[in-house]
Amino acid sequence: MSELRNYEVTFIAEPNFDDERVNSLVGKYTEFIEKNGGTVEKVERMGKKRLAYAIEKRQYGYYIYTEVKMPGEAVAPLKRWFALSEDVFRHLAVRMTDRDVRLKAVTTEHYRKEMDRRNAATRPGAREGGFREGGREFREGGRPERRDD
Amino acid sequence: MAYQRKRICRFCEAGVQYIDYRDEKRVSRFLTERGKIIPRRVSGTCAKHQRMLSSAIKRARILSLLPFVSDNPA
Repeated sequence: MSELRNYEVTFIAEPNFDDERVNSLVGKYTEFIEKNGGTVEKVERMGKKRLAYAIEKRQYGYYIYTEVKMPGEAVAPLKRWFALSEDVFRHLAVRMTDRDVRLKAVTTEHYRKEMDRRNAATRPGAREGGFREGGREFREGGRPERRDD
Repeated sequence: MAYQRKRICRFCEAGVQYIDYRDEKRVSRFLTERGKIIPRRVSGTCAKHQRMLSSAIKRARILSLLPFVSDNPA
């Protein structure tokens, strides 16, 4: 088999799926990937979400996001598998270069830190009553406060 | 419309290096109420981030996270 590459595969299953049916679908999916020489690294159930536009009269869908390592030759069979599947009505497979993976990780980490910083800045400030003073006090490492215009 | 000074890229300012297509809430502000992608001459986004942004929006549309067109402006 050729080189394994990183892919992000998201698919949307019928909205009325319960945990059991989702488990069974994810199981079949994992089996299919492994049969084609890949591995499923991560599965994230995003759950039932409202669709931005109706797809074959459906207003909702059950979103499942996965990160996969597989050879490029497995993509075409995977897409065919989705197309033939009764359970999945939409899918998206995105190739992630090593650079994409790295930048995504950096940015996710960045968002997390930013959230922590904001929480740290607002919570104690609110307790002391003085918003401005609270914000100043909890500024991190002398970095200038971001001004909202 | 009143003259507005060109802004600096919001993504550069925020230190964002990757724009995720699943993050529809962060990305949707770069759409008009009709669902069109806001041009960078309006939003002030830099070329690099606008490219990333437009791919992310297009992927999000495939997953029905964002609309291709919207008749009822949100």
